[in-house]
Amino acid sequence: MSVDVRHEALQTVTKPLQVEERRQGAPILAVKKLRTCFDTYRGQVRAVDGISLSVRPGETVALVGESGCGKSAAALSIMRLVPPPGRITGGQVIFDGQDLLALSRAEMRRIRGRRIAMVFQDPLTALNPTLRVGAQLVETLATQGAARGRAARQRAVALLDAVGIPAAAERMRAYPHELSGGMRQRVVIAMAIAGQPDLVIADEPTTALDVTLQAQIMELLAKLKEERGLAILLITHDLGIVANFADRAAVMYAGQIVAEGPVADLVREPLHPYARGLLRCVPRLGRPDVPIHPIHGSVPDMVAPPAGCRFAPRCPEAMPQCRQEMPVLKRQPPTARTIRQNSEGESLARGGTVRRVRCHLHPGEGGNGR
Amino acid sequence: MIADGVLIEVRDLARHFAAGHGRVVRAVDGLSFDIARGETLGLVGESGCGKSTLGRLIARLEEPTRGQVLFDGVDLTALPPAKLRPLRPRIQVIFQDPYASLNPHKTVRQIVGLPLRVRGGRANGQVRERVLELIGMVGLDPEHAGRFPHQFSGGQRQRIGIARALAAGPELIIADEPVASLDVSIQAQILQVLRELQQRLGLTLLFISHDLSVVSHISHRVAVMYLGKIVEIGPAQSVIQEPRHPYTRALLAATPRLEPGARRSTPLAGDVPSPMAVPPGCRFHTRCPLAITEECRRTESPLRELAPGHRAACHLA
Repeated sequence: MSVDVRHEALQTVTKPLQVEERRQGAPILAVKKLRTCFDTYRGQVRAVDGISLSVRPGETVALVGESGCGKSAAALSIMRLVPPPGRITGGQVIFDGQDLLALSRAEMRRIRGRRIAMVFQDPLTALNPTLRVGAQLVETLATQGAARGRAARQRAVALLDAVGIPAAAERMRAYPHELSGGMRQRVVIAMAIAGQPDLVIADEPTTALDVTLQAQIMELLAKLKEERGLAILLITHDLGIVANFADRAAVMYAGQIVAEGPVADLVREPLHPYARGLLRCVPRLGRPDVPIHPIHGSVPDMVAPPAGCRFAPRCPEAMPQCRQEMPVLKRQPPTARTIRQNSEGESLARGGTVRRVRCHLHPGEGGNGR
Repeated sequence: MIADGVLIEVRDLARHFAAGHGRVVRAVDGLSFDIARGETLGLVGESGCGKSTLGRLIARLEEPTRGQVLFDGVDLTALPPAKLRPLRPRIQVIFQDPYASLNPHKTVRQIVGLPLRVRGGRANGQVRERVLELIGMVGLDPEHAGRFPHQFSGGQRQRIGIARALAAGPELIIADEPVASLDVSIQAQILQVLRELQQRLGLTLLFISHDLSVVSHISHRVAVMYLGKIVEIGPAQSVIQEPRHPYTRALLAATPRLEPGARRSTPLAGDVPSPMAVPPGCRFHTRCPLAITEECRRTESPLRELAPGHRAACHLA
């Protein structure tokens, strides 16, 4: 299949839209002070503790953090899919102007799949093992009222083709177990974009895949973002993927966002000690001169999170104030490096210029706490 | 640093599995290499390339189809079980999933103590003392020796696995994806522990991983596996900086780097062929981005030395 033909196939499943116009526009998703907690026998776990973030069309925003930091709970909360005993206890999820938390269940069902789609880590659990992938795609299209019968089958082939599955028409008859891991994840992505969503939430979409397949899948998501103006919320623990594929990133720790801003700023000049610590943990390929420095200790028990800054017990730079008073997420003034970078226009093209940090070391510019 | 002498010699080692209907999975398909005493050899490759089977063969947890593994000059593959048993403590394995490899009904004290009791020669008091010493060496709190595996985090469980491996008094440790299931901060802790212990105790380490960044960080030498064969092996810096095999280059290009916007050129197309249907000639030729010659389709290139100690199996390198 040549690139041109595939591109054409993609056009047929693409909404006509002005990608560049939308990228500059209002966020398609704006999460405001979202809280989700889980009631356990030991007490209440505030898995998502007042997070705010926004995603614009044509933008990839990464939500980064270690296991248990609340990033997946945040993603499920946005979709209103938090399993019991979890429940959303506050905040707003403004999607395309309406608060998803205020919708009825029936209204929410019309949003899921059609306007917001999800791609999960394990494609095998996201697919029905007893149905051919073609049938699953056709069913998805029918459920979403997008197409039926022969038209749906044609659309399904075009979708499989658009996500780079060779001999798409023949693969319609394959069962999930007959496909490789990378191909399965492509099918899941085809199902995700079948309803022409505005937003895709991808929760560790490549964690189960080898690096060469990971690169293929991330390139595919990047292409869909660029060509269709898709907004992507990428949940990952992999800072390399964030650096290579996201425009902006929010770093989560113990249920809170502790740093947020353009990816270039996060990677080149991390302000928050936790973000800095995470980056120093990553072995650099071909740079044996750059030692790795572990972050000591482990994530706090979320039934009884530490007083003050939640990272303070592990922070090498903690001050007495950090153990008493919780810092707020504050907008940071430009640094010498960001000013230089902005004059070169790089930041504006990718991820904007605003960065926020929750740290007493960076008091920021007054009361822009979120 | 690396002491003199070879600890492990692998000679034309192969392990084929019958897959029914006369099909054969050629998981490890005839490979040879050495590991020097005190050296860390990193073994990298994608899922299904045979790297774990190779690790199990060297530990003789798996019987080879052909070939030899010489440990300190002794052919492990030729030894009857009774002769093998005294050698077992000298080769220890650390597994990917520390929870699955720890007995949930035993305390840390019992888990780490068992290899010591099996070895014998220690009174109970000495065993207890040594257990606490080992627990401290891997960075666990000796006060937690009475706890069970489920009371620890993933990183701590991996430390228990390391302490148990050390208890046997090994010369060679085979670590099979020891950090793959851990968070990056914990991964860094475990890598540091392994590296420190390796240097302090002069251990020889076979470090198996799919992650080139991790492998290149901890290894003196790196071997790259593809479909049951080593396609490139050499000093870590040489392999990473000047890869000779197109597969190594593709793996490097696909590995995410901490450089914003540093997007790779073209990721390798397609999937790894099935080890039940290994392509004839060079086994990488079906995915190779280089201009394939008739020779590539017909014959398999041997590992050729292209730089000091750096060998690659490619006709075009």
